Amino acid sequence: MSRIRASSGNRFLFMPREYSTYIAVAVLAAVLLLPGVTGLIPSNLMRYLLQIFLYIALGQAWNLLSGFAGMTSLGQQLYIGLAGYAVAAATGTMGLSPLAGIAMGTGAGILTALLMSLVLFRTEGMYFSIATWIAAEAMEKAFLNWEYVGQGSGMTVRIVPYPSVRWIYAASLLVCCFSVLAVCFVLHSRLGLGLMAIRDDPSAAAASGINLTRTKLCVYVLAAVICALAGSVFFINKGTIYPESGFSTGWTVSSVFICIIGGTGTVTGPVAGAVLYVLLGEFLAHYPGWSNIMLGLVTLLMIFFAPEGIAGFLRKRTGINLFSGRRYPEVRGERGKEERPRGKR
Amino acid sequence: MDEMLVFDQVFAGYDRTSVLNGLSFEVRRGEVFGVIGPNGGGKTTMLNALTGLIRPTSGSILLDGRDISALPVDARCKLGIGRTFQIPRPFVRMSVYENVLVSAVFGGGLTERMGREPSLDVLRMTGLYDRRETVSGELTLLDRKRLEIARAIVSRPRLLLLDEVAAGLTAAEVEDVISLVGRLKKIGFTIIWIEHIIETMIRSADRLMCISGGRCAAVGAPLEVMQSRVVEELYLGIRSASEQEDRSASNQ
Repeated sequence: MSRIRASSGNRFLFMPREYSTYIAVAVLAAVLLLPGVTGLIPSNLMRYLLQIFLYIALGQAWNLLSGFAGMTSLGQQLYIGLAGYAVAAATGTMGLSPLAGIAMGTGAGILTALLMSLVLFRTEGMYFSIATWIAAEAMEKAFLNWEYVGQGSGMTVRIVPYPSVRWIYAASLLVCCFSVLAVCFVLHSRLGLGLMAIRDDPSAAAASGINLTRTKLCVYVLAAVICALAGSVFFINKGTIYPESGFSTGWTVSSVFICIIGGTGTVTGPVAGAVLYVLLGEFLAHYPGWSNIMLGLVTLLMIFFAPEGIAGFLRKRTGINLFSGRRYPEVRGERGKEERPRGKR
Repeated sequence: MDEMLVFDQVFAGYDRTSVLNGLSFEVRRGEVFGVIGPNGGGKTTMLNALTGLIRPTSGSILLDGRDISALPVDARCKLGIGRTFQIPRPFVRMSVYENVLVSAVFGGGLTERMGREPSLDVLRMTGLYDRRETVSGELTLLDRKRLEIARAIVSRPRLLLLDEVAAGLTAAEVEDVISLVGRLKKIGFTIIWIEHIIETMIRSADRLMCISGGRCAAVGAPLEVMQSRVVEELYLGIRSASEQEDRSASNQ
């Protein structure tokens, strides 16, 4: 039988495992942020990196829902599009700052997620997936016919002076770090323990005292916030938004690809998946007719040969399980005092 | 004697099919209350109605005098109802320790740090301590059943519901379960135990109830219930001599 224990138990690098996670993310963010804002990274590279950061955030949001909570959403583009439109309306129509636009987008995302949960949480499994997809499609149709948001012609983000690529790079990095830290925080919290139980068996989880609705709602709203933040920054970078781009099912396709390639149910999976997705996308941009075929082929190969994704594959080979939400019965130093495990595993 | 649980004329079922048809019984504090009955008689439905997985259409379920029939599943667990499932339902991707910790934290209202020692104690008691770091999806049937019990008792429930925990086990494994239930009774748990293995019920239960057709067919001391005419007729398929005579006469 396999054991899931890491040799260092609850501790890693002489400190509780969750603290080491936060410190590692903070150090990595600082290492990436400083050369970006000081202009050491060329603009072109910065544009690739900021895309990677935003896709990491989207991957984390989808992974949080599907990989950790078992709620497979096909409609996270609802929050991406809403936030994009909120930024465009705030900066273009209302004359507010981009930060106010991001705040408005996030607020709209939270409010919509709360309202949507009233309907969505009455469904489960495949029906939940379809309901989320239909909700996003309905929102796209509504925006196509809404005069205030320019109907099919869309809206333009008007910021004077327009933020430089360094500003957008820094914002993307912050959104990315927020998503990773938020997911880590959830996994290490009581909420994360409940989520993993719900993912494995909702009825048994409820019988163990877990409030299913409250737990799912927390996660659904957090995923909406992450998508809204990423969507806001994405459309500030892009400058324009149309119903077809904001509420495109392509966002979900990207998120699913990133998580399957990187590995669902892990924090590192979406990071690896997003890097590969952006690099592969750039490479395949030179072969327009082949890009989707190649992406599909890579996904199939991964499903057949490494179903646990890059993160799972590396974990199997190296035994290292970074940013894990695992709970271990012993902490370092106490293991010797405990009864030694016996018998076959 | 002190009554902990009262079922009063409970009707419940699935969709439009009524399975419990006015079920009434009481469970006394500190006893092992065995439940037997033919398949489809309503035993597991009774547990589902008690834990909140289904809502009664009428009647009331009182736990220590409080009507709990409208409460959701998690609230009932927090009030002190712990259950095992007939087909074990471990959290398959979590370790044995994590499975038990979930119940300690959510059902027992402990923090993760506070829940650690009780979880390990329960794993020692149920014989799962050595497998505490094993992924629960890889456990044997016996260990899965042990894990069900461990998960149910770690939150220190007032009322423990065991749904066929001995089913599918070898004779030696059944002895193991009987001994574990005996220890739980000594600790002070009040237990409702559904089982098909009659000998186990006679040895372990303080009182026995036979459910048939969603109603209480007989209740009392285990041997008395087993020897009662109604149980022989309903559960064991033995017809009374007079009925057999009547049938043979009508056939002729």
